[in-house]
Amino acid sequence: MAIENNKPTVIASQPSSEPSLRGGTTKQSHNAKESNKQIASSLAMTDRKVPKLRFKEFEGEWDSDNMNNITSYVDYRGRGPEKSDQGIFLVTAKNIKKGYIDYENSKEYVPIKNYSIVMSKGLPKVGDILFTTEAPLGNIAQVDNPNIALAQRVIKLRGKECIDNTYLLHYMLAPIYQKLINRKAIGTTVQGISGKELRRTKVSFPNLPEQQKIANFLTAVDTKIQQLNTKKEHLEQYKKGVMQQLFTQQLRFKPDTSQPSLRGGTTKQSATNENQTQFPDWEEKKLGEVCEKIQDGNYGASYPKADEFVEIGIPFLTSKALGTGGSIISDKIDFIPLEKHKELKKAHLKLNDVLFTNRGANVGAIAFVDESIAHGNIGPQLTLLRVNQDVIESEFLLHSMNSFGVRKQIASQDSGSAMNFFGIGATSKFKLKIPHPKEQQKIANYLSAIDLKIEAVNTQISNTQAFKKGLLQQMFV
Amino acid sequence: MSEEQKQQQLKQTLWNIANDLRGNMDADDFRDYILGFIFYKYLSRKMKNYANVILKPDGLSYDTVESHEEAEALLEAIRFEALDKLGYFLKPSELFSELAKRGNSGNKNNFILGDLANVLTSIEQSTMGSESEDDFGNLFEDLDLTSSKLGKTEDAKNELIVKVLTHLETIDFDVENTESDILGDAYEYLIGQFASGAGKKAGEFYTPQQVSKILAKLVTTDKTKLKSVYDPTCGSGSLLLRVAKEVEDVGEFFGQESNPTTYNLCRMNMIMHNVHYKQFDIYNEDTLVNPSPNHIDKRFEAIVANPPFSANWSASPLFMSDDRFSAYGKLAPKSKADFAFVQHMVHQLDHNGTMACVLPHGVLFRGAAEGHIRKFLIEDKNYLDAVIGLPANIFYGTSIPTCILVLKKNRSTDVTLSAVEVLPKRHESILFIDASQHFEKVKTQNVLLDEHLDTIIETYRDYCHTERRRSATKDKYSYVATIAEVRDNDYNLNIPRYVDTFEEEAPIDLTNVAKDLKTLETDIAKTDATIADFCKQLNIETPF
Repeated sequence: MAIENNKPTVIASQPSSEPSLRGGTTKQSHNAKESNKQIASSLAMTDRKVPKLRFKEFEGEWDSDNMNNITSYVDYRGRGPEKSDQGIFLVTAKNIKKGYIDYENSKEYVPIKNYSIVMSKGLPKVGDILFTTEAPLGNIAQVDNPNIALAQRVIKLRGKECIDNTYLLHYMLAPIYQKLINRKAIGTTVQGISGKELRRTKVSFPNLPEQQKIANFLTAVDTKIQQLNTKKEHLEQYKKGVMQQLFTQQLRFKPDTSQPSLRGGTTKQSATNENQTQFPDWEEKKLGEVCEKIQDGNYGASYPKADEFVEIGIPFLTSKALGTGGSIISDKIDFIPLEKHKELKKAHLKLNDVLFTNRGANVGAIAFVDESIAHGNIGPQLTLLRVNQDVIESEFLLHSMNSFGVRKQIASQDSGSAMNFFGIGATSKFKLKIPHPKEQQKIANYLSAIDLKIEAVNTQISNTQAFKKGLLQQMFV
Repeated sequence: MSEEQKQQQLKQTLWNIANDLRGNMDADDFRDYILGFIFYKYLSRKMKNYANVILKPDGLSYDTVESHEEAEALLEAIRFEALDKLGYFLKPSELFSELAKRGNSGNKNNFILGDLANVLTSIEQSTMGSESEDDFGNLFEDLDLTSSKLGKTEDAKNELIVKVLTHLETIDFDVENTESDILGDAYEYLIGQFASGAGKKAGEFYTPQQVSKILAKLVTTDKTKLKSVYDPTCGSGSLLLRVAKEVEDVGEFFGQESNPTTYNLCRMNMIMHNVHYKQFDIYNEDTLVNPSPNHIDKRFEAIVANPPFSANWSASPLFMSDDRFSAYGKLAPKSKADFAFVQHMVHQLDHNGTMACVLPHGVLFRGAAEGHIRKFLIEDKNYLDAVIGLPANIFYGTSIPTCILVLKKNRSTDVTLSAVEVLPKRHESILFIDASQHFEKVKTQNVLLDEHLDTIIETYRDYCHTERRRSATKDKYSYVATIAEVRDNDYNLNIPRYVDTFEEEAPIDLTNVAKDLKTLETDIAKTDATIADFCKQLNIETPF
């Protein structure tokens, strides 16, 4: 390993390239240990500037210099300019995120007539790097629209001849530079870095062609992440659109004409429906009529105290365990001992129950009880809905509860006061529109398939983000 | 100068005096002095004008009557007349202008504190044994001329007082012009200014003018004259006076106020607004514990109130035998007297009357005893006529959202219904108005503009109108709910249950989204190829 790390040139990690990405941290710690040794043994070796992961056509050590020497540096800190309702968009530290400018956040403008005064220190160009000195510290983005004003905790950097701006963007976002910034930051509640310190920070860089190649690669990965996010948004829109049309019956499934039903229970129905080309009309029912049990969790004296939770035990879900999109946040599930579970017997979960958040900021959030929590228990902020399988499919109920019609009922009855909650009585009164069981099945399967697709894209996003992180760790020194 | 300009100028002048002269004194403390002296000046002017009318046939004037040979007899005659007509009496030497002159003569401060104290006492005492005694008794008790707040030494106190009197003396109060309420309104403006400047405690909040106006317009709907108006928590009386502005004539004003200082202000406010002492009866006690014995058996045609929000009260079981509360079977909770005030008001409401009351939002949906009382008012009594949700943050010193409940004992006023629209009858329905989103933001405060107020009143009056040419149900604003619907909601009156302000979702074009997704796939494929190429060059695994 040591030899591999010491190699001044070429392919950083030939056979073990994949593990080096996954296990990036262990490698790094090896690396750190190694460099410590080297400091002890030989001073000359500490200046070795070669990244672990490198395009093979490039060789030789990287340069390193102070930020001040390699960029032209403009400080836009100081008194905030006069703002107006329209004019030139004002980019402040609030708009600068890790890697991009968020134009949706804090929409402020400076009057056009003041623009030249506000920007007397110099106008931005596409490609310039923006850096936030505090609140938040160390966010970096690249100017993609020259028609902006800059102010408040923003520094503008423009690479000199030897520096590619996009390379600089990725370099500054890499852990090596972020760590440096944090080490030099001062302040307690708000961490910030002084202009002087920032100018003195060291930046390592290879020759321009290698910079550009690294920049192009990392930008492509960013593009991919962005595309995946767009894909996710589109899919969510798609699901919302499908739900709009399905639950208002603008869009309807048709019965399968060929196959007789396999399930014994429905043969009678299929007999009557055999010649029908359409499912029957939906019926309006109250939630209480289609559930065999509606029950919230135990509260009062028997509610588990903080010291009664255990590491391993029966899953105990409270409202914090329900995400907005109908997901269960697994690391927000608490656990209670079996005895406690037996004591809290109001609401023992069963497979296919639907959970409903009956109070709080996340009121109305819904989740499905799958195998992982099917033997669990719930707190009083949650209500379990156990369907009467003859009338309604559990999965259909799940999607129904997220439909606009039900969400509207929840919103109109939510008084917004802290005391407000949907008791069992109020919950039972929600009105649902119920189609034929077979139509329910089709709708539920369709929507669940879209959910799976969204979930898959989500996983892709986090995997690609991890990939990017690995690259940032290894492609810079 | 128009009336409005005059009024504006007067308000400004008075407020400037108040601000300039108070020095380091607490605004709240100074209020009692400045308001007291304005009142004293007003009484003086009225006294002088009235006396001059009496003396005119004899060719005399009040300034000179004391040097007349029959001065004593004349004054006694004037005194007799004044006590009946005005309710009080002031000798020529006791007039405001006289004291101001004395204090400032020869451009130096002459000591008048003693004289002034005597005059104020003598105003109060002039009414002893007469009909106006209750209205003038202890009226000036908050104007404490011995208080160290005025200054450390007697001279310092005197100096300040003389300064205030001198400044006030320069203002023309225009009392003769009895048609306009300029002075009274300016007086009330000062009360409001002081209230909004001072820190509020115990849930007492000065009712903003616009809210007073809404209440006043609600209870005067379809009326041009009122036999009586009543406010069980009347404060400085601004609500009562506001109601008077909405009709041609109000027979009598009744009010109760527990804070003695505010009670004094209220009486002064009444007199400053030319309400004759025989026409008003304000009582100083806690309304829930000690309702005025003069009021309790009376029934009033209009009742308005802005009781302290969710105040504490004893909720003692003894109240269960009190006529005001006994029928309901439950008392308002100890920590929330809101419904106790409503019950008190219902008790005092005449069969043809209307009451309107500002309350915190919670009265609409809180359960337990309050839910029970709500149900009783709606189901057993059918008194609830309308629920109006107001914007949050319109009161000085509190940002809580509030609502107005309108109650009527007789709601069966429907005669004909338009044939086209089938609307629930008045006595089978309750009007809900959601005005919570209709306001103007002014600095940190939300303010109701006239247009917002007009829409509320217009909607309520549409609802009241026998023929209801226009339905009072307005999209995203108001809804005429049937009692059955309210019953369905377990008598929970939370407005969003009835007025639908939920924004509809914008319909999504599935074809477009599908197309976008497909295009995106092509783009992603291109990006994937680029990344794969780089990965190959780096000799690492492609991530896709």
